[in-house]
Amino acid sequence: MRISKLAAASLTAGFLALTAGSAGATAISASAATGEATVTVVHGIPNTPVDVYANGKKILSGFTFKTVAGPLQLPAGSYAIDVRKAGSAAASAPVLSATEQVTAGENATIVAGLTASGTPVLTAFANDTSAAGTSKGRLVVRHVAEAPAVDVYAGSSKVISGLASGQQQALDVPAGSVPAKVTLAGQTAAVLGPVNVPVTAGMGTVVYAIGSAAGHTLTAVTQQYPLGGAPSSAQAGSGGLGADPNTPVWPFVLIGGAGVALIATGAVGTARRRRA
Amino acid sequence: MTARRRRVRWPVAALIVGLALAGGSAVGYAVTRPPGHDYGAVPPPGIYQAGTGSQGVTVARPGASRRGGTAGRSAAAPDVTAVRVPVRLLIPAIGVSAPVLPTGVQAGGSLAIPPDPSDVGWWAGGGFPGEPTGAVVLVGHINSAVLGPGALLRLQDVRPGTVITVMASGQAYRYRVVALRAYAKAGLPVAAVFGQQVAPRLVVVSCGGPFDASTGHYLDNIVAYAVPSGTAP
Repeated sequence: MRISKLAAASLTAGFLALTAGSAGATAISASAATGEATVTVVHGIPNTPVDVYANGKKILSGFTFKTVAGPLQLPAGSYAIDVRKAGSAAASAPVLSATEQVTAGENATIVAGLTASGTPVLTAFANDTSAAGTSKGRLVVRHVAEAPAVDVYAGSSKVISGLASGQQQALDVPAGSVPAKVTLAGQTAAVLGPVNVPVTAGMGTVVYAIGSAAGHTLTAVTQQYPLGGAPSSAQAGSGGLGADPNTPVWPFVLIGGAGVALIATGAVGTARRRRA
Repeated sequence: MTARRRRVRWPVAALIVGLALAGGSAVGYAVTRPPGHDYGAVPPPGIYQAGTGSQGVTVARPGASRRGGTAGRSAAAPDVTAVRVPVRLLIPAIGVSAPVLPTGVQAGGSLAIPPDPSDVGWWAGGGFPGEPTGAVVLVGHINSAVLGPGALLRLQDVRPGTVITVMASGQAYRYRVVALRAYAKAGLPVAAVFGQQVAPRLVVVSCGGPFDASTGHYLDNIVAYAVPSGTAP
């Protein structure tokens, strides 16, 4: 309904990605196994506590700015999402409405945010769950604030350019702490940060730029979600002594070896003595 | 004469000491080494008779949802569940009280382990505590060459009946160990360990067995299977 074109595009992209994925290894996550989607909800509209309804049922109550709710498990299907001012009647006119289609195993985030010009809007993002490389995580930046296009820096290097409100961009980076800052596009002074964003191997970390630049409420919230479908191995315990920590083998080998050496020496000695 | 005497005695002494050392070390090894890692019975897949996926992992069968068919669902009010994210693992019997951090799967299919060996990872794409189906999968280090002993150093010492508690959303979810297995890494039964179409279970994965210096990894996974406390094994 009032979902932006971009949201629709991102959902479509998400479905395409899911469809492509299903040829390989999908439908293995818990949510897929139970026919559910995983949905996170982000509140990015300043000074507007709300209640969130799905198909007429209140699923979030007294939901406030800068809050990330979830992850929630939702049966796959189509949902009429209504956002009402907190405490208002279920039958009252919603502040925002949208229809969302979620599929089993999908991981999506719905953001109540602001357009560049400050209009409240619901935006749905499909969270890309494809695997990142070994020891890498995915850093996703989503601009859902009343603010012009921005650049994003990791340390001193610009990693995202000209990201406009309603848009997202992702990059896979080595796990660790990423010193990130957000500037208005083409400028160097930070409007957000610098802040250390933790990136975990096998996880997506989403940073949402929310609030209003004009209203001086610009801020960031983060969300993490798992990447990579079902595991086929676990590589715990990298490197080290004490394979079986309670029963190390080497002392026995050492002592036993010394014993065998002594036996051999003794036997040779005895034989020589007899010959002598 | 003295020299000759010494010659007579040292081979005998060497023989006796040698026999004692060799025999003693063999006995000591046999006594201290666990008789094997396998205990109990791995709980069978419970309520689902699922097909096999392309990776040998069970996949959803259409219409097998625990909430019944999906037809006509779109108009219904949703049954929304907030995920109970595990935050701490407690296994008092082996001295474990470890923070739990969400983790995911890397390219190539390996489940990432938190870098700090004192942390335990929770596969965030798997099950969560308190659900009527699915496996909560936790994974941890035995130790790290660089950072020392890991949280699951003594996982091989749990036995059927050992109580494991997972803290999530301010609640304690109690499980009881029903089986312990050691698997060669190459032979890890992926469906049993990571499969989600199972009656609720907790699967704790660590590493043990021989250490392969060439890969920097242990060759075995130690896996403890547990079921919610109070339910039948």
